[in-house]
Parts: sequence; structure tokens; C-alpha cells
Amino acid sequence: MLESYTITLEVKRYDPDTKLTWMQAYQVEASGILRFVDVLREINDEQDPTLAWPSSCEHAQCGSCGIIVNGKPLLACELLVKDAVEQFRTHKFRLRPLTIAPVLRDLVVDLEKAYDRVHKAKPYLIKPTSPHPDGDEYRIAPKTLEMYSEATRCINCFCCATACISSHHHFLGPNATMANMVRLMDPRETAKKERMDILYRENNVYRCHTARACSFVCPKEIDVSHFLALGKEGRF
Amino acid sequence: MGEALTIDSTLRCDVLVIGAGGVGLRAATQIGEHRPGTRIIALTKAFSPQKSHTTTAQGGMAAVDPKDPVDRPIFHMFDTWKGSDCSADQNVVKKVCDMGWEEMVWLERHGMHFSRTEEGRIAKRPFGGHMLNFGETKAFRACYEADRTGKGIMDTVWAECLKYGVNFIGQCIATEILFKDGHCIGTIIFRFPEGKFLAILAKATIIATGGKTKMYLVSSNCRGNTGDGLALALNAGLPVMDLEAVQFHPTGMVGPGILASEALRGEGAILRNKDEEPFMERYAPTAKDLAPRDLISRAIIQEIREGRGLFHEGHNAHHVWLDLRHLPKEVHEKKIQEVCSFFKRFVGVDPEKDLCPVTPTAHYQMGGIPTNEFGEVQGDTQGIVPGLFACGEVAAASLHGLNRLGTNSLLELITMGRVTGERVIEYLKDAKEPEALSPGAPHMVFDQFSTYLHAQGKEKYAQIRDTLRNLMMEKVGIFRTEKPLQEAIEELRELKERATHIPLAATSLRANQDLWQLWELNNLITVSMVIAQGALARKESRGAHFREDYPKRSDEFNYHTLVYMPQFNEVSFGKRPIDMSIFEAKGEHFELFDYIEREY
Amino acid sequence: MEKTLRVTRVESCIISLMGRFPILSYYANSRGWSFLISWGHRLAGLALVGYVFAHIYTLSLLFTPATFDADMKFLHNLVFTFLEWALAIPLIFHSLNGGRLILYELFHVREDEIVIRWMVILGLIYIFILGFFFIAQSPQASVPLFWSITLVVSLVVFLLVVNKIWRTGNSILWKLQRITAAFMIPMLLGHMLFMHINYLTGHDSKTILLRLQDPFVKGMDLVLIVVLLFHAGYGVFSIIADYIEPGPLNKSLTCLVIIVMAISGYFGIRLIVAL
Ligand SMILES: Cc1cc2nc3c(=O)[nH]c(=O)nc-3n(C[C@H](O)[C@H](O)[C@H](O)COP(=O)(O)OP(=O)(O)OC[C@H]3O[C@@H](n4cnc5c(N)ncnc54)[C@H](O)[C@@H]3O)c2cc1C
Ligand code: HEM
Ligand code: HEM
Ligand code: SF4
Ligand code: F3S
Ligand code: FES
Repeated sequence: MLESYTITLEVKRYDPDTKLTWMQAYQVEASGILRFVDVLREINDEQDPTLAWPSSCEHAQCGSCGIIVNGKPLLACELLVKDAVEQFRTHKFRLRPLTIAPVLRDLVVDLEKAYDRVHKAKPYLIKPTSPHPDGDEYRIAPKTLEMYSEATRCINCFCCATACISSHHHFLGPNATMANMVRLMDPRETAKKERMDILYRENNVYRCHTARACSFVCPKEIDVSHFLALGKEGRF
Repeated sequence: MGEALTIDSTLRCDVLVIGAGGVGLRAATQIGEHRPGTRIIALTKAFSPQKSHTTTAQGGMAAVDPKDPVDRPIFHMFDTWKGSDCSADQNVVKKVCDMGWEEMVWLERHGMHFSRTEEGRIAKRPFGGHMLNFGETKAFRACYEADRTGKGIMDTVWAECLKYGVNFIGQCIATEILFKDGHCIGTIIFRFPEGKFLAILAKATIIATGGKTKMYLVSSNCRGNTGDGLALALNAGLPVMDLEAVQFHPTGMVGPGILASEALRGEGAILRNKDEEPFMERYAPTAKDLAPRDLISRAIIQEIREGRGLFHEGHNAHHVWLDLRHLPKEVHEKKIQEVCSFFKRFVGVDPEKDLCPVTPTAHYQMGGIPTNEFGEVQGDTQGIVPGLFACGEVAAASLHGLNRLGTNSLLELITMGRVTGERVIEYLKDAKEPEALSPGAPHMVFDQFSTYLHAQGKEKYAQIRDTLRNLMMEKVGIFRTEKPLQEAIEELRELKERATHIPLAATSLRANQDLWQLWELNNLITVSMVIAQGALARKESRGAHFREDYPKRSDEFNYHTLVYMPQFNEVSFGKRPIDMSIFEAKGEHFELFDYIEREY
Repeated sequence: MEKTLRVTRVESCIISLMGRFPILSYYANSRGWSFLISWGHRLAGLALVGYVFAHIYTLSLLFTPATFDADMKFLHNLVFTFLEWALAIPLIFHSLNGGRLILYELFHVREDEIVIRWMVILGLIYIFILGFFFIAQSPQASVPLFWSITLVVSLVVFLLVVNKIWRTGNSILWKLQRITAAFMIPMLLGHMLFMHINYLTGHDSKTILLRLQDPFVKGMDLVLIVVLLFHAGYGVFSIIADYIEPGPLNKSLTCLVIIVMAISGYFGIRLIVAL
């Protein structure tokens, strides 16, 4: 239980003042049950307070802490050291910032900018149906809800968008496209035409080539590509 | 960094929301929906409002459908009153409980993905302290979206705000509230990416910065919950109320303190001690595992103290068990999927097969910036501060008194958010555009930041942070006593002083995490001081505040504690009476809204 | 959601073999095999585009049969024979994988792993059959029979996909790319197979010219070239759209693709019609 590991983190660093980029290695003695955010904090505390890294909730619910570890975009707050050693079969990890938005410093990227894509997908009900005659909630059968409720679990961590074969450019990205899909499948939405216009635009579903890296990396284990394919199939 | 700090530019708006969490954005949507064209700016520390802490709330929010055949709003009011240990304000309790269902429908109509019953209606589950017929049996009252209810709310209000064109500014901290002739006129913010100060001038300002329990070693709160809003208010000379009431959630996962939602117990999970005895039966014979949080947290610590707890070597912590093994597979997979995956990921146990180690974790602040039932901030006992509003966890209206029932907080967000929004619309009718700031005027935040930037000494940020967390956990935690509290106050003074001798490793203003955290640390120390002072002054036990030297509730303290601390060492106290309007109205069952015994 | 597939011993051998290439295993571990397959699909598509240009060029030599035969003789050595056989690999991979993508995206087939497994198995079988015909140098197949069967199968696949996606809101061009893809699966696989069955004779100008006198074969080839150039053109356009945002650069590149495809089309069609 108390197993401890000597791990090396090679972090890609960036200083916005000098605009320099370099790799820096940190050696840490870490207990296996620490998460990568804990390790980064430890580096701050004991070795280098200038190393910047993102996080907020620190329990895999907000999607602030996405970074790339040995090529895989993931949430630093849910990767335990022992799992990382097992998964990547090494004690040496290369940490890079997500590639989906400009880097602010070290591992922190400007997700605020990345969010513009999600905003374009209009994650709200554009035109809700008329209310239930009794004045209370609209009725949705659990079966109907189940068709898309997985997709509502997305926390917009942009791991999928980072991994995707084509979302580094102007593709809205797997998560934004999926957000639009949710409302297409939502029986309360009546503006289906507008939603389809968003979906079948050149910057949207045609940019997905079913590389399925999105589903592979999604920390919430959402089968993102399934929802994108539903869009192509026109099944919503 | 030789050059002087300056305000880079000024933005103007009608409404400024400091803290784009659930409540801030619920208020914003109210304004956007009913007063189209209002210029609204919403600030958040995170990258996006969606990343606010509300997103992590799991269990559900209570609301009684007035057409419900068995449940009634008055039961809900009673539970809230009793849960608060007779210290909530009854005008607010009544208002919130009456509005609850309407707000639930509002959320549903605006796109929240509630879990559904077979008939397609919003599903409900039981939760701690919520009962039928004034405490008889558990009530199905908490509406939920699987175990991501907070996320459902956050996604809904955030997306609605997009629709109304609310302007979000992320990655910033509000560092100082601006006043002119007693009116609040906006704030100064500091942006992380560019490291620039901006002034935002607004006709109305809403503080909604959420919780603050990051000063405790074990905490369910997010990295940014550092009591900023409270510190802003205190620095502005405003009082804060009931801060001594800190809720410890009984079931934090051993280790990171991540919350194992009460929804688990709502679905039937059972707490067990070392001998696998379901010990809550001894402490709360009726409510058992669904007793209010303060009772269960104390019960767990009691079990541990009496040697019936366990010790987790990996995390070096004492704990008890939460048993989920008997729950149907269907529940594991559909209703509590998220939380179960936490246990698997963070603790390495499979809740379907193993017992899960849990321990109390600092979770929620009942107190906050005192407001009236409309969300208007009170400067002293009654008068309000024009142009300044507060709601949500950072505010105390007070719905929760000294103890909150699970699910009532999310309810508070959507009800008080709306009420505050409505009040702001009223206020905007004849509010004037604030005058421009005079250039070069001195600002407190510049002093603070220059101190940090020029600090000399040998102190270390991490050391002070850890000392603070241990200190608060030990001496101002679940059980409190006179002497340790006094010691804590002394040590906090020392920490505050030491914190001025932390030299920054880098003094660039741009994306400087170190600088940002130092500012937060100072807020934590400030707020901790008020918690300790309040705890020392309240010589009784009520709700979440438990004094071992005064283990009984005392009528002498039937009031809310107000603490002023314009300077760190200048503490003064005030009192605010508890509103008893349900009792005084002498309506049906009014006698239950007196200062009653609290047993479960 | 997805049923996890038990990996057979053979597969785990293959995977661990492929794992020897650090770049492959790096992406397989960090993005998944599907991601690598997608890159493979793209590269194969581009390789095929290149081949088609070369192909039309060599075929255009048929106008002067002597040059064609001379060239063919020159190309007719072991190395080139092997290369021709190897060409089947990108083709078969792109075709079968294209089929898989169509199944996944349009026919809701989510057992992707099983489909991939079948893709690999069928692909290997196909390639070995080709190789077998190469070595065995077996007699000619009946031209009309072979092509009638291929055409019928192609039309069936074609109609299935048309029926499935025609009413969706996807852009016409996108739909046509999928439809043409489906049509080409039997067509192109047949084309390759045929050319290999008739390996020796297929390569000399006389046989080809004789065959091309048949209006049926002419018609088939015409359809094939149009369909293929459209598909390839849209494919290249799609890659451009992935990397270059809408704007002047995107527009000019798109125009360039259209022009190049049109010119190849012109030469290809003239060839078939005139010969
Ligand atoms: C793990 C967990 C589970 C919970 N589960 C439940 C539950 O099941 N039911 C229930 O009723 N309650 C629950 N709660 C409580 C409830 O979620 C919170 O009380 C509520 O979300 C607080 O909302 P808020 O809008 O006030 O604040 P928050 O959502 O915390 O938002 C605060 C916002 O203010 C911003 N901010 C903070 N400081 C500054 C600053 N200085 N400048 C600018 N912006 C700032 C933050 O970035 C954030 O955007 C839970 C809480 C936690 C931690
Ligand atoms: C034989 C049957 C074929 C099938 C079933 C097929 C199928 C497909 C499919 C489904 C795609 C879309 C991939 C995507 O965008 O997600 C595609 C793309 C493409 N195809 Fe084909 N194809 C075939 C033959 C060809 C041929 C012969 C060529 C070249 C001459 C070609 C060139 C391309 C190109 C360049 C792309 C774009 C690749 C990309 O976007 O990454 N294809 N093909
Ligand atoms: C190595 C194997 C191949 C051989 C020997 C071969 C041979 C030929 C021949 C002899 C023709 C003339 C028409 C005919 O006889 O029917 C032809 C036409 C054609 N081939 Fe191939 N081919 C091969 C592979 C391919 C591949 C891989 C493609 C697709 C990428 C392809 C696409 C075409 C097309 C589109 C035509 C029609 C040409 C036109 O109309 O101008 N061929 N091929
Ligand atoms: S789909 Fe998954 S990986 Fe993508 S943003 Fe959402 S949670 Fe993250
Ligand atoms: S990785 Fe990208 S290509 Fe499509 S299936 Fe996922 S969005
Ligand atoms: S910090 Fe919130 S998901 Fe990791």
C-alpha cells in the first residue's frame, strides 16, 4: 500500500515573458497513491515554485487540469502515480500542455479561448417546446433520456479535442459537436433546423474522420465518436 | 518589477457578477431574461464558469411540489429549521421552500437533464434530515441529475447566460471592491494571463464567490475556494456572519478528501465501524445514516476516538467504512456512477465488492456576508449597502443558520439567485452610471501586491499553508474548546506576520501562479481568523459549531454572530437577531418553529 | 458501452510486433489504434491518388501501342511486379477500412473491434489470392461474366448506402463521397483481381485494346474513372479543409484540386472513348 516510486517528470516549460520554451526534468520520490496534481504541488513546494500547472476541483469533475502525459491527454487530478507507472510502463513521464489553445505558462493553456468553440455549438435550448399543460416539468421517458445522457457528462476538458486527428484547426471539436448533438436529441428542443445547420457545416461533423481518439482518451469514458456518428447518420 | 502597479483599463457594465458560479449565473439569467439589453459581466477565477465549484455538487436539491400527495412545503421548512438547530432565518426559509418547485421547473424548462421516473417526471431521492410529517420517515424530496446535479445546474445557467450575451471574464480575481459615497461601484480585477489590473465599473455588483474551506487539511473544496469574497467584504469594512459554522461532511474519501455524496446514503449506503457495526443506529435511532451531517461527523469522530475506527496507512488517516455492497447493480451503474468511479480511481476500492474508507471532510460554510431576504448586503445590523448584493454560499441570508441540510444549498442557489436578480432589476430602474475613477488614486490592492512582490525573508509558502491547514483542522475543526481556540488565534496572528516574509521566486505579473496563491493564502488566514474568533465567542454548541466545554445549546446565543475585521488585528462583534416570522405568524404548526429540541 | 473484445493470441502477437515500432506504440497507447488506422487511411488515400495519376499517364501511352509495350516491358521485372502486388495493400486497406467507416458512421455498427478484425482477415486473404494468381499465372477469366457479377454487387452496395443516407442533412458532396466509396469497394477490388488474374495478357497493348472495344467494358471504365476522381477529389479537399481554415488559401487550393481532377478526368475519359 505504501509503495513509493522514484519518478522523473520531464516538463515542457514556457515563459511568456521571455517567450522561451525548454524541457526541464524533476525527480520526485512519490507515494503510489498520490495524484499527478499532488506531485506537481510537491514540485512547487520543494523544488520549483515557478512551475505553473492547471487545476481546480481536483476530483475529475471540472475539466481544468488536462495535460499531455507521454502523448496522452488526460486529467492530472485523477492519474495516480502507481497507475501511471503501470499504464505507461515507465518511471519517466513527459508532461506537455494541451495543444488546443495557446500556452499561458508551462502547463497552463488558455482554455478560455478553447471554450469559444463550445459556445459556437449553442449548448442551450434555442427554442424550448411549449410547457406541459399542468405548468410543471416536461415529461421525458427515461429511455429517451438514456439515448443522450452519457453525452451530458462531458466536462469540456478538451482532452478529446487535443487527441483528435483534425481538431487542432478550425474543427469545433468532438466535445462541442457532441454538445450540439445533445440538444438535437433533446425532445425539448424545437429549433432542430438551426441545430442541423450547425452540425452540417464545414467546420463541424465533416471534420470528424472517426479516428475515435476522442472516445479513447475521454476521462469520463464517454463514447464521443458514437455521438458524432449519430450526427452523420442523421439519427437524433 | 520596479514599475508602479496601475490600472490598465476600465470596463463598464450595468451588472457585475463577481463569481460566475451557480448562484451568480442564476441571478444573471434572471436579469438577462427579464431585462433584455442589460450589460452583464460575470467574473470567474476558472477558465470558464462551467468550471466553477457548483459543477462538482453531486447529490441533488430539495424541492417540494405543492401538488405532491404526501410531501408538503411546511415539512421542508420544519426540517430546515430543525436542521439549522434553530438558527436559520424563517422569512428566508419560508421563501426558499415555497419557491423551490417553481425553480426546479424553471431549470427543467431551460434544459437541465434531470433524472426521470418511469412516468417521465423529475425523479427524487431521500437525503439526510429531510423527512415527512415533521420528522417521521424519510422523504423523497431531492431532485437530481444522476450524481452530477450541480453540473446540471451549472451547465444550464451557464448556457442560458450565453444566450443572453453575458460577457464572461475568466482567469481573474476580484481584488478590491470599489465604493463611492457609500455606494458600491464595481471592482478591480487582476487577470492571470496578462497580469493586468482592470477596473470594472457597474451600477450593481453581486458577490457570489462561493465557499472557502481550503484552510482545512481535509477539504472537499476546489483549489480556488479560498474565501476571497469574504476577505473582500472584510477589507471593505463590511461584517461577515456566522463564520464559525463550518460544515464537515461525514463521508469524504480518505486521502484527497473528495466527497462521497450523501446521495449514497440516500440510496441506502450504511456507515460501519471497525466491527462492521452500523453505528449510526446508536446516535440517531430514527434517521440513522440520514441524520444531519454535523451529527454524523461527530459520531464518526466519536467512534474513532473510542477506538472503533480504522487506520489507513497509505494516507496516514483514521476512518470508518461506508458500505455500498448491498445496493443493486442498477443503482451502482446508473444513479451513483460518478462517485463509484471516484472510489475506484482515487482509493482503489470497488464499492460493489469492498467497504469504502471515509472520514469527515470540511465542506461548506453556512455563514457569509450578511444579506436580507432579497440578497442585499447589510453593512451593519439593518442598513443595506446600495449597489451591493450577495448570494449563494458566500452569503448568509440565512437559510441554513448554523447547519445546512444536504441539498438545501443548491436549492438556495437557484432561489436566492433569482430573488437577487429580481432585486437587481428593481435597483437598476433608477441607478446611476458610476463616475470614472480618478487616475492615480491609491488602491489597497496595489499595496497588497507590492508587499508580495517585494517581500524579503526566508518563509515558504507551502510551509505556512500546511501549518494553517493543520492548525485549523486540529484546533478549529469539528470539536472545539476554549484554550486551543485561543492558541489558534495567536498562531494565526503569527502566520499572518510570517506570510509577509515569503519571497516570490518570480516577480513577473504575467501568469504568475505563485503570486496568485500568495494572495489567496492571505485571504485564507484572514477568514480563518474570523472563524476562530466567532468560535471562541459562541460559548455553546449549535449545529455544526460544537464546543466540548459547552456541549449544550443555549438560548443566550439565539442570534447570528457578526464579525468586523477591517484590519487583521481589529476585531469587533455584532449580533443579528434570528428571524422567527413563521413562528410569530401563528399559522398552522407554528409551535414547531419555536426553539425546539433537536433529535433524530 | 462497447463490448470489449477478447484479443486472440495471434492478434496479441501482431500487436506486440507492431509495438516494436516506437512511433506506432506511442500513438496506439496515447490515442488508440483507431487513430493510427485513420492516419493509415489518409496516407493510403493520398498514395492511391498519386497512383491514379501515374496510371492514367501510362494508359495514355496506349495511343501508341509500341511505346506502351516497350514501357511495359521495361517495367516488367521482378521489382515492379512486386511493387504492383504491394500496391494492393494500400488499396485493400483503404477500401476495407472505408467500408468499416461507412458501417460505423452510417449503419450504426458499433462493434468496431470485430469489424477491424474481419477487415484484417479479409484483407490478408485478398492479398494472398492476388499473390497466388501472380505466381500461378492462371488462365483468363471470362470478361463479361466477371464484370457483370462485380457490377451487380457494386450496384447493390451503392443502393444500400444511397437509401441509408440520401435523406440525411449531410451536404450532397459528402454524401456522394460515401456513396462513391461504397460503389468502388467491389469495383476496384474486382479491377485489381481481374488485372492479376489476367496478369500476363493484361499487360500487353493488344489484349487491352481488344478488351476496350467492348462497349460494356468501356462503360464500366468510364463510370469508374468519374466516380473515382470525384471521391479522390473530395478526399483531398477534405484534408485541405482539415488543416486550412476557410479563406482565400483554402479556396485556391480547392480550385487547384478541382482543376487537377478535371484534367485527369478529361485525359482518362478521352482515353477510354478514343481507344
Ligand atoms: C463536492 C461538493 C458536493 C456538493 N454537493 C451538494 C449537493 O449535493 N447538494 C447541495 O445542495 N449542495 C452541495 N454542495 C454545496 C454547493 O455545491 C455549493 O454550496 C454551491 O455550489 C456554491 O455555489 P456558488 O455559486 O455560491 O459558488 P461556486 O460555484 O463555488 O462559484 C463561485 C464562483 O466565484 C468565482 N470566484 C471566487 N473567488 C473569486 C474572485 N476573487 N474573483 C472572481 N471570481 C471569484 C469562482 O471562480 C466561481 O466561478 C456541494 C459542494 C461540494 C464542494
Ligand atoms: C475502394 C473503395 C474506397 C472506399 C470504400 C473508400 C472510402 C473512403 C471513405 C469512407 C473515406 C472518408 C474518410 C473520412 O473522411 O472519414 C475516404 C477518404 C478518402 N479516400 Fe477513399 N475510398 C475508396 C477508394 C479510394 C481511392 C481509390 C482513392 C484514391 C484514388 C481514395 C482516396 C481517398 C482520399 C484522398 C480520402 C481522404 C482521406 C482523409 O480525409 O483522410 N479512396 N475513402
Ligand atoms: C497493379 C494493378 C493494376 C493494373 C494492372 C491495372 C490495369 C488497368 C488497365 C489495363 C486499365 C485499362 C482498362 C481496362 O483494361 O479495363 C485500367 C484502367 C483503370 N484503372 Fe487500373 N490497374 C491496376 C490498378 C488500379 C488501381 C489500384 C486503381 C485505383 C486506384 C486503378 C484504377 C483504374 C481506373 C480508374 C481505370 C480507368 C482508366 C481510365 O478510364 O482512363 N487501377 N487499369
Ligand atoms: S468528451 Fe470527454 S474528453 Fe472530451 S471534453 Fe468532454 S469529458 Fe473531456
Ligand atoms: S478523435 Fe476526432 S476524428 Fe472524430 S471520432 Fe473523434 S472527433
Ligand atoms: S481539477 Fe477538476 S478535473 Fe482535474
